[in-house]
Amino acid sequence: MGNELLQSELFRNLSEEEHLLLRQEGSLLEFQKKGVLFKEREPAEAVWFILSGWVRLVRQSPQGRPVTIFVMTPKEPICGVSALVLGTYTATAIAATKVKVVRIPRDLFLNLLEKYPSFSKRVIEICCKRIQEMILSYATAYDRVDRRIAHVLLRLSDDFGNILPFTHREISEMGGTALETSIRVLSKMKRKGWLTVKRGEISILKRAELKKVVGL
Amino acid sequence: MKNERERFLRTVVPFDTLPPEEMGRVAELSFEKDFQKGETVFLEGTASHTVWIVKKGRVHLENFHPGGKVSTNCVMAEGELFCCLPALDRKSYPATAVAKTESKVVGIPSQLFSELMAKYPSFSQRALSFFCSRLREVEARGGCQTYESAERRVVSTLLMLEKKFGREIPLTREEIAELSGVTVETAIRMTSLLKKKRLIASEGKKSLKVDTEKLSAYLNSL
Repeated sequence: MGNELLQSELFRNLSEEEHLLLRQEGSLLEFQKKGVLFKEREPAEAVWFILSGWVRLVRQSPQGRPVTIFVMTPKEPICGVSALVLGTYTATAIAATKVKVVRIPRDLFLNLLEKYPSFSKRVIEICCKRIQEMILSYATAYDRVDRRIAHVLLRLSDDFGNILPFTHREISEMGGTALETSIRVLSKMKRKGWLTVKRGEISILKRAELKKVVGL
Repeated sequence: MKNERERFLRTVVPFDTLPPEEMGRVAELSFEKDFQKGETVFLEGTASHTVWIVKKGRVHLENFHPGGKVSTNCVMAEGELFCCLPALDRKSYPATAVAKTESKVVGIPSQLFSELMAKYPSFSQRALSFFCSRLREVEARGGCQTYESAERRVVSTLLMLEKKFGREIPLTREEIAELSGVTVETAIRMTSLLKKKRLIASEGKKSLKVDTEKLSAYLNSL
């Protein structure tokens, strides 16, 4: 497991002893697409670090519809950190592509936080950033549909580049729209030449146009 | 003034974990500023050098959208710390902060906040615990809101505000509408409905009194 995790910015400055402990007590796991890392309301026994692939955090709406509240990527690597406070996961984490993760037991993670202020500071930064991104996405939740979809595409392209490995359904969930609406909006963008769409993939051709839609 | 500020900071998470000598230094290096109602504390996109705490009054964090729409994303009440992310990632303010009543805020230099996190594990842990709680609240608001009825959204917002302000919520219908993601008309209609059911009472146009237990039970029934 060691190299990828231990060379990451978050864990690089830990001691040899801690690296060994992570190797011994952390678990390197792989999930196929749609695999479940953990479920909402389960006891939070671990924090998860994404090495590759991406993971969706999903909550059930009151109508029983699954809603993607966040997308985790190796750039946004820590999953389940908010569970450290109250002890249960607030959402279900589902592998949206094949993923490789390291499962770090809660106690070990808490010890690292206590021992390494710089580690703790970085985790706080990740928390704050996530709060901010989620709040911003809710701020657009009641916005026009095309703006919401454009916002989702732009955010995803920050992490994935111009070729987005997502389906219409996944974009609609992240944008908080019905699937039919998402198909309609993406088709319109395709007709304007801003993107191309094929099964399971959206390629952004004119990012500047998407930015205009969201007002950037 | 410094002693009074020190006493105030002792009540604020995560400064409550600092040893006395450090608290004195923080009080000395921080500053206070007064704002009239409607005045801007800082603008979205500007360089950030300060972490802020509301000492008196109320501050809203807002984002402006194309077409002039304003969304209120957070309401910061007395004793609440806000906008710490720029202190950590050295980027600009993510929102505009506006004093919604006559307010006094305390500013802590970002560099000092960063130093305290590096120097005091207990400060860092308390801060993490605080931000994890806030992250949980935000996750709970979740994309689910987009599928919730207007009534659920307004009731959830009122309960969230009750945790900050107590049973008397000093916000206008317009502010409640922004936080709930509904139009003002819908917020007025929903609050009238809740009044008829005796779940809330209005204290003029600028505040509402909530019956927390009944409102929570009502939310669960929706």
